[in-house]
Amino acid sequence: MAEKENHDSQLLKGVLSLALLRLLAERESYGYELVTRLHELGLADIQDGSVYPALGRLERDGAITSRLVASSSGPARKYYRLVQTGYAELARTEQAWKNLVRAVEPILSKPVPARPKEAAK
Amino acid sequence: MRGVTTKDRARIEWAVRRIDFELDGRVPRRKRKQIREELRANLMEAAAAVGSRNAVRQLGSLHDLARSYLDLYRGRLDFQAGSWAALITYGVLAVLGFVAWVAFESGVIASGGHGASYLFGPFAGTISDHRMEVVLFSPAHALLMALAFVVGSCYRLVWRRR
Repeated sequence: MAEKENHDSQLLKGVLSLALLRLLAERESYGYELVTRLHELGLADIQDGSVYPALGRLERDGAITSRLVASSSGPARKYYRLVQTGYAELARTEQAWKNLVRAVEPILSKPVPARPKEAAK
Repeated sequence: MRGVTTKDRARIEWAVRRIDFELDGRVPRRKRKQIREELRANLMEAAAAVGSRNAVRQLGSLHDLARSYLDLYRGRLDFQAGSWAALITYGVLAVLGFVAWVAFESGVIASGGHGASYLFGPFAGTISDHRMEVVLFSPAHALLMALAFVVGSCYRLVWRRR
């Protein structure tokens, strides 16, 4: 299991769809299973309550489809699966994420000075 | 994995119903049923793993979750807002009816009269030496409440167009 770290909730929200698409590209999953998979990957700050509507949004946008599968441990589970549009969306957001990281990385790689330089008069 | 007790089921059902209450009249009935079933299934799974208290806590704010579902699946009409508008309209009419009755009674006393009846719109009443009557519900009340219900239910359509 990955080490538990603190994450900015707004940043997490921004990449949640990307993470869900990526996990669903690996295998079909249901809501709570996706939550536990995200937690196991170190994103323990993600609340179940933000994952379920995010799945609904992806389904509404046609990136994923769902089907009910009977469960021996309780009510039927709603399994989500990535579809063609989802793969295209995954490729697009993955590229956008990489571009963003590439753009931000040089800013963050510089050491932080003790105090900012004053503006030239 | 642990067993899910009746208490756990009750806690899960309470959380599901609390979210559903906020969607009532705003999200199509079929969609609401799907949301309830999915939430229930996920919460049962979570309860078996971490207990029902933690399962519900892991959802975060139930109000925020309901708002997220509303943003996703909100229908064109908001019958919950319509119901509130009708209820508030009735409250206002009842208060105004009482004020009208007090004002009319003062007028009757000031003019030295012993009794009289009045009727204007939804406000009607009778004042006499031995009894007082105020009409609390009439066809005019029903009409105004129905109007408030329609306006309250449709306000989003107008709001969205602006």
